[in-house]
Amino acid sequence: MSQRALPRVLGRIPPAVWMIAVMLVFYGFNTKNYFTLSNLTSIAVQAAPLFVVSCGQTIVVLMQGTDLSLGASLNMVTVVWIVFMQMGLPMGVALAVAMSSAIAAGFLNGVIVAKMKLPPFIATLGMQNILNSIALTIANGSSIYHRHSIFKVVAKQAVFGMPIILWVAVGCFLLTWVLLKRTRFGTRIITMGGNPEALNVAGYSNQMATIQAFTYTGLMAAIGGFLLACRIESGNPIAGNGFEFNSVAAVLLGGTSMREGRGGIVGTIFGVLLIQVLKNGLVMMSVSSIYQTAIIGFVVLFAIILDAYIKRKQEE
Amino acid sequence: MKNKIADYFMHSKYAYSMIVLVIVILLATLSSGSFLTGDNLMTVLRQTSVLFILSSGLTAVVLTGGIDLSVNNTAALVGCIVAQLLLLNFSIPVVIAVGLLAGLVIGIFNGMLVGILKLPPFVATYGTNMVVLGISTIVMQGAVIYNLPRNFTPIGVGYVGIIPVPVIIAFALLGLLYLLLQRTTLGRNIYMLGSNAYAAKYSAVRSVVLTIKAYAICGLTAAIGGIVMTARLNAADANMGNSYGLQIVAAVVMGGTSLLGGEGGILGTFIGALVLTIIVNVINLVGISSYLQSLAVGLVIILMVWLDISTRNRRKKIARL
Repeated sequence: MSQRALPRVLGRIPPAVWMIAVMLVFYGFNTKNYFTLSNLTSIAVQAAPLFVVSCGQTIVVLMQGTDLSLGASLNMVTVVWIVFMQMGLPMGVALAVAMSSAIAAGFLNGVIVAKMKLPPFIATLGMQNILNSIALTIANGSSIYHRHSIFKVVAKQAVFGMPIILWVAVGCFLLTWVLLKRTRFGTRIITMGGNPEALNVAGYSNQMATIQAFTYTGLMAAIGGFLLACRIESGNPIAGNGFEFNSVAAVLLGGTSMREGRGGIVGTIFGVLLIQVLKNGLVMMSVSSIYQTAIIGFVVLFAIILDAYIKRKQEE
Repeated sequence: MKNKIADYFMHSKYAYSMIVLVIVILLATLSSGSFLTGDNLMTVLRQTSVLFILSSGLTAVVLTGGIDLSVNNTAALVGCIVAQLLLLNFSIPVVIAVGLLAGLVIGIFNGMLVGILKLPPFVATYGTNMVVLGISTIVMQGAVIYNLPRNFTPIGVGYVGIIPVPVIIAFALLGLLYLLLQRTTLGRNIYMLGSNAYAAKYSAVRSVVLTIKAYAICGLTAAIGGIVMTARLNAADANMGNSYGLQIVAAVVMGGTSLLGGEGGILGTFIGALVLTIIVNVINLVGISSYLQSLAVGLVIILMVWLDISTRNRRKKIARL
């Protein structure tokens, strides 16, 4: 009994935590100035947009779906925001328009999945193409620039010792955590992943919960797009590419299961950190960008495989 | 008589695809005078062939109830490998063999992730897609290769008599996969796995091996598509699969093969590839921005899957009555 208890406790810690530990040690030995406040802050700042997006993705994955349109949604938000500012709209109004477009896309995803009964991945893959097409058309295929002080304020300026971008990420974390743990909506989402029939029997509508979940994910994409635009200080129709998969990976690495409504938002933090620590380390070790996509892809895929393998062993 | 025709359409696997094909051809003819010219139709047929080759093997995977989202970048990687080897003066049969092998390995890898580790197919293959794109970038060292050897490019641009080589390859694959899916035990088992995994299990179908085989077929046809694509472009680039991304899946779905598995077939995929190619072709002819092509593809796939699922539910309800 006691011999088995330890592996069980260790097995419950998501693989992301182990991999982060290994990487920190590796990078600590192989690069100069790794454990400095400025480097650690820069990892956190870079991770912020992905983390916010992953908050939304966690909710969708908990109810056994995925949202593959998030990256495209980020592209659209950055482009729409900057273009409307270029056209002379006030910053806040332009941002409201841009963010509404992402929330609307999330709502549409929800409707397509709940009412039209499409599998989430194909619905959101279709939406990904549509949103990318909108972003590329508006931006005419290239980055667009507009000077505004908001970028630096959000990405660099510290309030109570932390850049605003990180406060936004913390806010999104708290909001999602409260939503999942302390509201009926959260309970319904988790029940939907575990036992959708039970929800019907209890007299709740799965459809409504699905639409709410995707709309909330759209909101997170809107905030993620806002943060991303502040970080890159431009509207870029491809800057968000990869966020959709990296966020799914982060959620799975954080121990949220795609099968039974198990897991939660806390694990997602580690999943996101894993991806960002890896990326940052490759830059610190000046690995050529030619190799980066493959290395990150391999590690993420490996971690997902490892996670699936551990879960299978536990079930046996 | 009228009822019989209606009945036939209700039960034909390809009814919707055929109707959509006719509508699309009509609209294409109306919206551009240059659609129905010999030159343009030849272009459409050739582009259809490339898209069909890429999506042919995917049909087998979708029939098992799975999905492979890595086809476009697998094709690109094979193209990149082939181009690099050609530059190193390897002989063409060797180069093609290596390319096909690369596709097969990626397919088997996907099959193992889905079959053995039970990863959700779209997560596993989306991951593979990213890795494969990364490997392509390494293979190309961030550069683009132009001007492949003269004796290689005919695979993409050559003719036998008056028929373009890609069209011949496409029809050969169509015939082969039709026989494989409709006339062999492997094919029947693929359909059974997709329509009723439990029944398949109790009929002693080895679902793991079967899944791996389906993904292997998909990897192989992706490789063939990659070789043809590279020869046609007379160039190789790590990102050359990008524009095909969702089109490949859309061709299969458009052809009436259900994402739920077990229903559909390879003939439908050909019709689906034709419909999509015509849509993209008309968008070009009319002079609409090419960025809007993917908007059209996105809308098409959502509508087609919706149509498929809603009629399938109705058919099930009819069956229950």
